[in-house]
Amino acid sequence: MILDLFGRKRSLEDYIRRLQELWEEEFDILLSIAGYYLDKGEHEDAMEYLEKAFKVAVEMDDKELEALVLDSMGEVYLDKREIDVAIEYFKEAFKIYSSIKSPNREEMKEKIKEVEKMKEAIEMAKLHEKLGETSTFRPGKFEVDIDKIVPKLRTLLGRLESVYKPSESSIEELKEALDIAATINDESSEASILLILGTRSFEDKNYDEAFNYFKRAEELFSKTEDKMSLGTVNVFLGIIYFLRGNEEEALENFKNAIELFRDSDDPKASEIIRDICRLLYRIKR
Amino acid sequence: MISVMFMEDHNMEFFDYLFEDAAPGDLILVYGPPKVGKSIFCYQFLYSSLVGGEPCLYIVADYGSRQLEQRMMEFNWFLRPYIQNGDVYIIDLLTRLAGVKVEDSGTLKFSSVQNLTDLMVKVGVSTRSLFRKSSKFRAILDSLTVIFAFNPPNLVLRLLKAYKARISEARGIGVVVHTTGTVEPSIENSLMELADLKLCFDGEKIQAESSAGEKFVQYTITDKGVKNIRG
Repeated sequence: MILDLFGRKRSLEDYIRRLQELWEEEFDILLSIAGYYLDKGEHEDAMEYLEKAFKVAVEMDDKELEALVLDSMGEVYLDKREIDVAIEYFKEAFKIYSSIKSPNREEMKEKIKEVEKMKEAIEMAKLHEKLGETSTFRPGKFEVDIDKIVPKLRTLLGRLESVYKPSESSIEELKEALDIAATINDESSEASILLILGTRSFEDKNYDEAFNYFKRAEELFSKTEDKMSLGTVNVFLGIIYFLRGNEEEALENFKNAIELFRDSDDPKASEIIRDICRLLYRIKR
Repeated sequence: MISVMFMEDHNMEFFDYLFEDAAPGDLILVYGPPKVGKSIFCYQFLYSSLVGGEPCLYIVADYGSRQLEQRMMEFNWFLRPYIQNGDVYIIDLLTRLAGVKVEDSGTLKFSSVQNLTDLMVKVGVSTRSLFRKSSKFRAILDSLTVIFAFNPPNLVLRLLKAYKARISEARGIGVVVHTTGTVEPSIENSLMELADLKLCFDGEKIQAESSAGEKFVQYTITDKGVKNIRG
């Protein structure tokens, strides 16, 4: 009887192929409807159709299509500005693309990076906004509790694989080491020693001296392309600029640091910067 | 001329002869292919220094400080009493690199072949101490092979210039060991230019070259170290 539905007898392969075609068609339609709702900003409806599309993809046992739906779901959350959720979906899609060695894998990876950048930018914009709201305060006139920030900076320093590690050297010994590093043009060590000297001055609240050390360290770390150390120097410089009331330079340095830590694949370091910014701008979690 | 005292008097002339053109503040380059006795020569130079009452700095870069003691023991040259008396400073560049956790002690310092600034800081500390102890001392760097392997060659050359300057200031005698063929010929040439006296080992003879001219002696290695063969 069922054969009559198609009017003539077909092989099992024909039926399976036809079923596959119907699934593919259904999948395309469901995705198009989701796209339609997304364009109109009707996120819930878009998600409903994407969930249906996902079930079809699972039924078809097509991993590539499953990843495509997860990617689309991420787009819906991105449109809703729920960036963390969006990133989760993109990461799931990336995992699937990776597992099947899909050519879309690299594209997905780039997309995740871009969205993470977007997330940082939004957070920075929020910091700006927060500062604007408290515009009766002049930057630099904030009461900054440096003692709360110093442990965070130490954690950041502890993450570096410094070339030069003088555990308990005196300032004089460090200055001698700095002279030697400069004499033999050992730029990596020179930069590391400048960072240590800058840190010591910073902890002594001698910010002008610290600033000079950090600026020299910044130049050398840029030359040696030591991103983690350069990022750390940028954090110190950002704080000093903030203390001096130069909010623009402070944010520029924090932004640079976040980018450098991201390039170094160290999200924990980026998180420390955010904590420091919260302490500086007195933003509650 | 550097007076080199050896345990066996007949060897003394041989070494005095080799070093007669060297003066305090000079840098001596000991070079040649592998396994021709360069390091043994250095152990002998170190031990003769200590026996003669001259303190010494030994930078061991190709193996650890424990191995240095063990290798010297094979020739019955015992370092331990001199370490305990503070007559020999050792800077060990390899033990930390091997992942062993070690701490500096009075005359035994640990640094790294990857941290030449730190090495020079420790050379400075050691040479100052040795200078206070004696107006004459020796400093031996054995060898440049691993240092070259871990650093840009030009950085190593700058290190050597600083090393030479530091030893000269303190009126010591510096010895540096280099295995030929481990760096580009241009770098090897620059090394040669830095040295005041060059001792080339080839397994049969030691060729000495300085501004005073060239000479050579034939040698062999026995259980008493490097010995000349009288022709």
